[in-house]
Amino acid sequence: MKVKGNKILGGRVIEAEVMVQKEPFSFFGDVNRENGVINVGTNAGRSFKDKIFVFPQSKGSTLAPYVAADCKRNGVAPKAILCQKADGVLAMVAILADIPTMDQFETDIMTALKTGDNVKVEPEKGYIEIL
Amino acid sequence: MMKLTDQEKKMLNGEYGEGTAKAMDMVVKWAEVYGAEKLVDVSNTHTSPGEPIEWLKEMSKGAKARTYSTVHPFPVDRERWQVQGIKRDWVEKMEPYWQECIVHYKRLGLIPNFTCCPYMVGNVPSFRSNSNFFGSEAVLLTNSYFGARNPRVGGPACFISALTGKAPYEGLMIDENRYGELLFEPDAGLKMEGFDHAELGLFGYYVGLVAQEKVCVVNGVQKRFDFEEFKYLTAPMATSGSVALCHIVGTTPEALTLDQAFGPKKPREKIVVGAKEMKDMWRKLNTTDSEDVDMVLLGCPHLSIPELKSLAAMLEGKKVRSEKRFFIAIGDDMLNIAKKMDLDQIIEASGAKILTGVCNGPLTPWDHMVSKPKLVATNSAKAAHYIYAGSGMTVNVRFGSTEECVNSMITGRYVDTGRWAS
Repeated sequence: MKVKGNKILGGRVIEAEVMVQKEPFSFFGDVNRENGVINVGTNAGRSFKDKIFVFPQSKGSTLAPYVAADCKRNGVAPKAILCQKADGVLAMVAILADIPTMDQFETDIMTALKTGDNVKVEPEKGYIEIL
Repeated sequence: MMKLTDQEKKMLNGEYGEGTAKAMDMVVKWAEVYGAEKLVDVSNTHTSPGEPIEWLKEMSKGAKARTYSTVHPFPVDRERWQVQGIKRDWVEKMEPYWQECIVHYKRLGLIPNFTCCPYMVGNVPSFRSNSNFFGSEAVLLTNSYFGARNPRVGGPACFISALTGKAPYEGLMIDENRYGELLFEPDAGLKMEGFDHAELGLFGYYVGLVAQEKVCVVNGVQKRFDFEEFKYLTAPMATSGSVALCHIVGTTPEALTLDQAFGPKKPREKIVVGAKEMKDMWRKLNTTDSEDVDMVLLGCPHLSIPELKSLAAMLEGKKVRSEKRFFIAIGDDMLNIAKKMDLDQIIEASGAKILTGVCNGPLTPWDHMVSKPKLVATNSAKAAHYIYAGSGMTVNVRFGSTEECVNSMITGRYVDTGRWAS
């Protein structure tokens, strides 16, 4: 099944396993930059390393992009980010950490996607495909 | 498709150096996210310390600031960390990183003066000019008080604007996006004209909570707010919410009248603020009723010279009790002015301590203090919010007027004298 969405940052196609965080997320405060382990909410105690990380919307501090860049440098960043509504701070997360990112999907990805699903992310073509 | 000028293309192609090209590439990607049709020239920027050092190194190669650019404060006063009560091992661990950052700032031409009030040290964008300031309050003040165009995208965005002198033509850079969405009015019984700084903070904290990211208009106040009043009123709007623009009818330049503030738009909603809302916010920001305050923090945002003058008048001839800690944060350049007027001597003779270049409250590294306080008092709604949250709810807060905070350090007891205790 294909779901249309909006490209925030593309550059490559990603195929990986999904991890769904049900709460609004910020890289500043909600995740450990050393190991990618999330502190709060649905995935507390689990790492988003190499996952397609899904959450409803971004929130919080404008320092988030620096934390995301550290995650990337430490090799623990997600492979892609999908959310329903991104803000400017998340756009900067994607750009600075170079993580393909999409938002504004035609159907609610918070119900369409489950942790463990395999998904292909095609930012340049403007869709994701649930495999 | 976005249009780039010849100069912008040259920047992107590396003719202005490697770092400039990387910064320009990020500006272009940022513009593409928003589907911006073009870039605009940015004259003033203010950047955040705390960049990952590898990134800073990479960007510094073949780049220089193309704007008037200043730098935000650190979590500690690097000269007076012992006075501030920060543990030696943590400061010694962090210091090489901070020093390396400063080397890069100087090389790039970013003025490393570490204040959250860049407009106090000459970084003043003019009306309708484009700027990109870091710091939620700086964004709000720049947009609202000076009427400059300032996006709210954060740390790296401010940095790349500094190196390129560019930002995408999007969001608040576009006139049509700057009209009011929500209207706030004090009810008749509130008598907002007489509010002290803390009461303005309560009002602002409520506005942010309701408005979140929307453009706000405050109407119905029969006075023009001065700079200090404006600072305490608006900083909390970007704390409980993420307001980036708030027009105050009769004070801010895009709101000479109510009609001008909304332009062709109609308010989506009119919200009347009364005693109930003020009391609710007072309760949120006072996490305890205890009078036994260990520490007072003032200077969030950094204090101005008029504030230091009134503080000196309150403290002259008085003594802070020996078991109490009283910290006042200002920019280093403000200390130079204060010295010319002996304000520092009068204030410090009381036992209160002046800190510079430090974010006092929101970024205080509580877990790296020699002796973490149990209860802190402040006159800043923004600091009150972040002290409690940032300490993982281990440091309680009393929030109230500057006089109440000062008196608690002299008498040893915090006594609320206001109208909103609940």
